[in-house]
Amino acid sequence: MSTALENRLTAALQARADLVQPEDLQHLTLPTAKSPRWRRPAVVTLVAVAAAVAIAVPIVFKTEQSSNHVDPTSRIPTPVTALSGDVDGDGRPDRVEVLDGQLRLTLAADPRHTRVANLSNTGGVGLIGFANVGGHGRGIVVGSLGGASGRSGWSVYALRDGGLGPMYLTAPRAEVNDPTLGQIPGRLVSWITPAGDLRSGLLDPAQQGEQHLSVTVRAYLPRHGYLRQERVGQWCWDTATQTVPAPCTAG
Amino acid sequence: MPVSVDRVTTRLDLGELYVAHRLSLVRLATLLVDDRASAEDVVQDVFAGLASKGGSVRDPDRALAYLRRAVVNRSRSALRRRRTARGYAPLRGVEAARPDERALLAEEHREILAALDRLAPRQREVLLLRYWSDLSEGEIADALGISRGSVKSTASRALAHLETIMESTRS
Repeated sequence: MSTALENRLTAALQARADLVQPEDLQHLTLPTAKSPRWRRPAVVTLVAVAAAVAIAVPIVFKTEQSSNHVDPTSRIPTPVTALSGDVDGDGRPDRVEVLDGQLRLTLAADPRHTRVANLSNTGGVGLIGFANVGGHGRGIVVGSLGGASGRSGWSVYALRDGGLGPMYLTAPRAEVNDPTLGQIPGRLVSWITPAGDLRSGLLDPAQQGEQHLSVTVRAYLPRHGYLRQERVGQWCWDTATQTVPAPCTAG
Repeated sequence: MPVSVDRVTTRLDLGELYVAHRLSLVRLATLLVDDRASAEDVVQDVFAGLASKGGSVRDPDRALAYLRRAVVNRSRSALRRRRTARGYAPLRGVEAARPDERALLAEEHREILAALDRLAPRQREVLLLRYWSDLSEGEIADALGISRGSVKSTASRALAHLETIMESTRS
């Protein structure tokens, strides 16, 4: 075999690989195995239960929720007005709440300074949980029922340049549907995986009321500061035994 | 009578592994998938997977081999997912590099990398591991989960095919 070709191949691969330099890498830290309490399996199961219930039952927001609620592991995470979780990735729980059309974040590292984002949809807003948004921190998942001018769905807010702002959801051109997260009874179910990733499942309206459903599942994965919808596949959902859709098993 | 088997595992210092090998693994993933962002995600996923196991492996001396194999597997999965999502075969390697990256590559490198992109996935993987990662046939076999014989024959066919592609491009 041509040694010249091998040498040339080696040089070309080295040149291509050398284009990736340490300073180019965006992930700054080792993914941690130490899951926050809200991400432990039992909690995620509760999240899933909440998502499943939302198919048949409209979400009722607990607008009277105590603002002292800080531990999502102790309750089913239906939308609430206050939550605690590690948003800035320092390993300490930060406090998040929705109040008067605003999302308010108080970091454990900076308790005297509350970061605020104005919510575009104030028709019925609650906190869902936390999700991966790239980097070492977590995004805040906010659910809304849609106000006079808004639409129902979930949105994700994250720390950016020290402030709090919404993350843009996007979908590949080949995707017909708009990127959509949230709960639409009989049409859409969304949940957070044990790993902290956002998932949505489009249901077939023709199957409404059936126990066994076929669900088009999509994932929302961090890409350069936004969440990009990627198709996962056609999954199955036995609504009697499974809390969320899962890959179909043979038979 | 049921037999219980105790698996002896060793907890790794993931931080040390991450610092030592992340860059080379991202570079490997970059050569396997189409862009740096995806490559970084692949490597992060691999470390996250290892972290979820508590950083435990049965043979710590083979930790890098484990990581390398996981990167190859996850890169394949990433390409498959993208192919499904986009509905067309994804760009790979140099074709998908950012314009500024392409500009930095010499023409002779671009030519052979473009030819490399036209090989079958397994052939590309073998050549990347052989000529960039500088692995032995045994290590490549371990990384790809195939026999040494397959590595040898695949590499031979891949080089021959690569040469043919380049000759046909010139003519």
